[in-house]
Amino acid sequence: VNHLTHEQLSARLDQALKGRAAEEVERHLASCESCRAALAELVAQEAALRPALTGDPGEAYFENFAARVDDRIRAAGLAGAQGRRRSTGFGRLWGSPRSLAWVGAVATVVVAAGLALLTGRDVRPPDLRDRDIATRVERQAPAGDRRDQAAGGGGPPPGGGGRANGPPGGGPGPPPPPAPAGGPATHLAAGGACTAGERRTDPCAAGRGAAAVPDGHRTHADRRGSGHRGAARGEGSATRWSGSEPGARP
Amino acid sequence: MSAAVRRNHTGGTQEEADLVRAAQSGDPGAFTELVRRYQRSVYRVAWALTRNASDADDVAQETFVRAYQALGRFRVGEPMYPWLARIATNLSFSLFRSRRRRPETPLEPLIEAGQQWGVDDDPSERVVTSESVRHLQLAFAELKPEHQAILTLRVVEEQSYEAIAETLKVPVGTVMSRLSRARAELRSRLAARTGEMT
Repeated sequence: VNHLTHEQLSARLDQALKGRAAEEVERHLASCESCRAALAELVAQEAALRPALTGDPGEAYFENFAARVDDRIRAAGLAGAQGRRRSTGFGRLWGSPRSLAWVGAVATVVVAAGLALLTGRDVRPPDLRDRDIATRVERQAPAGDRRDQAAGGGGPPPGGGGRANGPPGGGPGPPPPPAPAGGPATHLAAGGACTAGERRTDPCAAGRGAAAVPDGHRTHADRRGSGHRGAARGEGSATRWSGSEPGARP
Repeated sequence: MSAAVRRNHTGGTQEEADLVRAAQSGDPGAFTELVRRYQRSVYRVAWALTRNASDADDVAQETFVRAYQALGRFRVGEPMYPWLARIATNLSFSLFRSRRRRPETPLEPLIEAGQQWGVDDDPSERVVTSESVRHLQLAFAELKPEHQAILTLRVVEEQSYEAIAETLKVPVGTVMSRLSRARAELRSRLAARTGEMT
């Protein structure tokens, strides 16, 4: 005789069998005393288990249960659903440890890239010729010149050839942005049209406040043969070579 | 609570969806109403799985705190009870695992639970029932967590197979077979405790 399986008995206990499966089990139970006894035992165990697993603390316990939950939420300082839901846009980035990790990773990459860029610029092999010229200019430039340059006047930054918006004093910095059209450095920005020979005569020199720049300085720049190009890069500036600025190149 | 009322937990009603939506929008009264609605059910699950009033209280409260934290991610319209029962079950077994790592922590006897919350009980009746209840509780405590959970949801909460499947995130067929194994295991362990032959 094939008796009912424990799974069939368990499902029968829960009235979970349907259709043909239920009919077969009922037919078997009707004719099998052993399976009926097994089912009865299961029913008794279930009946005993229910009270063993039930602890009723009484109504008084539940009267202030919600208030205790509320206290616990407030004690934990939780923002709750609305706090999370209202957190949108950039604020959402701080919403979870994973988001925070992503933000940190991206920030690290950005900072590392920036440092690499700056470091790469600093360690770029120095132009020995520029250094030599700079040293000589420093030796030859009279103190008065440096004072004049420091005074500057209201014109464009002295020696800031082409750097209409460049940092004052010519300290080490990023390459100058293209000068905006129509500004005082327009002509310089157009740079390629202005040769070294032209610079002495007019528009280029005037455009970069040449009156404040000692002749000797420009001479050195011109002697480089690439003075204009250097100026456009912000490296050929007489002011930067003057040594009067803390960030001046040697 | 009747079985019919308990089964209503499994289906999300429009009223419940409105409460969830309001709670998600920051209405504290709506969340309090949800707590009141499910506090007894959650407590029953917590008590069945911890079998002492102190832990049950802690688990039941923490269940709602966790629910509050995660309410923004809860999908409006879904039945809330299976979700709460799942949280309570997970918290209970987290406690169980921590207790197993600290075996010196004793389980409070059943009677202590009644005294703590001022439940009146008859001492003479207690003596009669405590022996069999204690055997059953200890046998139940020896079951695997997954068997304890499924028996609690079926026997204490009288949930349907479908609702249990939703709560435990398992197929209905698994519910049927797991329940069967849990009952057989409980019978075997109880028999071993009482000296019966299985």
